[in-house]
Amino acid sequence: MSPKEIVLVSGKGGTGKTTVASALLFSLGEAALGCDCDVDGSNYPLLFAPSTLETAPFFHGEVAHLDPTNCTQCGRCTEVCGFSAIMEEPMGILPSRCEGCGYCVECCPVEAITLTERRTGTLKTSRLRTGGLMVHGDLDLGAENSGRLVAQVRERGRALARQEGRKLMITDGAPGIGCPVISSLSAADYVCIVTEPTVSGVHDLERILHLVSGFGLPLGVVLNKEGLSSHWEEQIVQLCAHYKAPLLQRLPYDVRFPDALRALKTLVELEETPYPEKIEQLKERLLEQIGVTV
Amino acid sequence: MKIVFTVEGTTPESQIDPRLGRAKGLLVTEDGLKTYTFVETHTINRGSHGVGPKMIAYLVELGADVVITGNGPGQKAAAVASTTNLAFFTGAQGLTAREAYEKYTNGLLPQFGGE
Repeated sequence: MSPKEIVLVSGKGGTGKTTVASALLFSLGEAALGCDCDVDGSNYPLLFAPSTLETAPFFHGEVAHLDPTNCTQCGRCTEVCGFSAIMEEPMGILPSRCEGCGYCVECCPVEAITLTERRTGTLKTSRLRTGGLMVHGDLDLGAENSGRLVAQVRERGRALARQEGRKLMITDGAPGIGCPVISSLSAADYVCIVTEPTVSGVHDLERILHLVSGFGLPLGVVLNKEGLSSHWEEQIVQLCAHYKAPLLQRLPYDVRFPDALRALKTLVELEETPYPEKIEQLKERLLEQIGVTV
Repeated sequence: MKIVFTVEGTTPESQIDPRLGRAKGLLVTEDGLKTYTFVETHTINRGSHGVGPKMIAYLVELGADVVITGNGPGQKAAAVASTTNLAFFTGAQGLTAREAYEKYTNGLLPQFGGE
């Protein structure tokens, strides 16, 4: 059976998306594989003390290279470069400034400049402290996430989940609602939106509900930080009703929540709090929604 | 009528690729898959951003009338698609292109943006 993928998204950052994803992954144990599409701030693996089993480079866009042996130092490339990426002494291209537009390549009279794929990070497969596996990415300095990169991470995750016979993949989606998020959601089996009762939380909830329902994907909502504002909680309930999205769980606001993260623990490991039971209920509801038993 | 399928492989027995902009390839047919051509879409799906609208432009270039896929276009791609005569039929993930064609001809695939 092909593994079912639950993707967690939030729009706004800091709503608890990754925290909920990690709690679900912990609770599901060997039944699930983790997949981290939030490579800009890759903190999903952090809570699991990952040890890397396998790495592969990933590429994003292009970068120009100048071969000094062919270069006649005519200076044409430095004139046309709109990003001041080409130095004259010594003649060479600063990869951190180059946007890969290729203008210099076109202008070079002796073909001393070429464009090559730009390596922007590493795709990793790691063993977690729970014994499970996670596919995640490590971006190089200054590199950015992209829809293509997210597609690569998920493709690797799905292949590994199938190979390892996992029933589920718990994917931490990219933040926001732009290209990497669309790439996180596309062809998901279920979308779980984590929101919070704040102005920006609710604003982004509406945007992401609109996006997900446009794709016709099954979805549900988790209201995190319950108790912060009854006004915004009411707005969340109304939005859920409008978009016919079930409100799957409410997680109370509690200072022990960030404490857990500081101690590198998942919510499920926070004994003497309501969280382990709440996550267990959420897990059962999600499994019911996608028709999987573990 | 030209029908295009988003596919993971290269034949009518290949699985439908649920993604549109990042589909691995396209199958194009004018006679209900009796004959077909496979089109590679690496120049589109390897783009970092904005692959949805690029795919719509490419489908128009191909002269497609109907596109059979999984998810359908995202918001920006849908905005571009609304200026064309392309019709998208979704929900074909998990099927082969041939199975999806069967479902399409029996009216069992929902049209994107339709009721």
